[in-house]
Amino acid sequence: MKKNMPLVLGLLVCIVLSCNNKKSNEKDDPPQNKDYLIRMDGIDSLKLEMTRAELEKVLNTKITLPNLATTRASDTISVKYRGIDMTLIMDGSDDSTATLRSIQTTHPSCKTASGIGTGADKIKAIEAYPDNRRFVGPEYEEYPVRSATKSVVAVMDTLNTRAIIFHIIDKKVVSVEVNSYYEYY
Amino acid sequence: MKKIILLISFAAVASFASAQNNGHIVSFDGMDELKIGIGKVELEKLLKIKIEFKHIGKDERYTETINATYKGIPMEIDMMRSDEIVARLDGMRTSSPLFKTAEGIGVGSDQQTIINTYEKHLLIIDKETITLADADNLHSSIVFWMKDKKVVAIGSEPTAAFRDRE
Repeated sequence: MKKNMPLVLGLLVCIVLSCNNKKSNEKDDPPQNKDYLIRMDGIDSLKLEMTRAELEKVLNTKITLPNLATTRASDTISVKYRGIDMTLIMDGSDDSTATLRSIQTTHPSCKTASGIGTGADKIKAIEAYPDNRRFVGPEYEEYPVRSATKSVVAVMDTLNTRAIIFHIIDKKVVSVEVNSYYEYY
Repeated sequence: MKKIILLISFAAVASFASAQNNGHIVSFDGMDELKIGIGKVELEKLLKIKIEFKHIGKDERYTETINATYKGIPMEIDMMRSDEIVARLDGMRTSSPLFKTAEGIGVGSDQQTIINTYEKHLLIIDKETITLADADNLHSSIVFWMKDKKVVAIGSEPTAAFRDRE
């Protein structure tokens, strides 16, 4: 037994180190096999129209909105939510009154209730919402030229303001956005 | 007498065949010669009828739908009151398979074909209709009425979703 003691201790050290390493990674990496629900009003705990303070609490980080300090009415920021890259658009007349207008992600763990997310077929995104108004059209490559490959499927809520927008390239969903005030042009 | 009957039969068959071959085109600005915006007098000439309104010019309503036939095809025609010309054509539709878009979409076509055919246009898909808006002018549209994902009627009218937008 005494002979094997160094080996046993070595194994224990390895196990402890491995656990610590896993914990530190968990903070940055999205949990495996976990889906985050995309709804008309947000993605998981991120809700449209959240204030900056509420958002900071959910993200556990300080947010700066340099554009809103100038004359612009919106600011686009990149954040990590549970290890997932998200692009957020904040609207407001100043930094303190800003609210969340748009959340967009390319991460395949974010899916709608019917399972539509990055990688899904365009036609499935259209057909998953038979009761909602859907805008289906090409995006601008560079205004006023419409793209031959990039398009959107915007599923409107019943009040026709909020939308889940599937961004498509070559008939496949490449990112999903929820927006509190969407108009197709 | 027999000759006359034969001649009439021949004319009827020829006329039907001509309609079948040429078809009738639905576009963003109307259906065949029936163009969005034409006045009551011009419409009467094309339909070869006298239009009598029940509401326009008689009560507060400023829109009215009339049933008529155009080249033998039953149509529903929307008229809108206009200060300059009494009323103008504001939309029309038919369930006849003789009317098709330039791309060949008409009664009997399915939803997926419409989506694939008009990838460069805006489609507004609702429960019972698919509105195909003109990419260059979103205010004009071709509307497909759908049942079980198949077109059951087709028409041309201003895009309802964009009526209030500039």
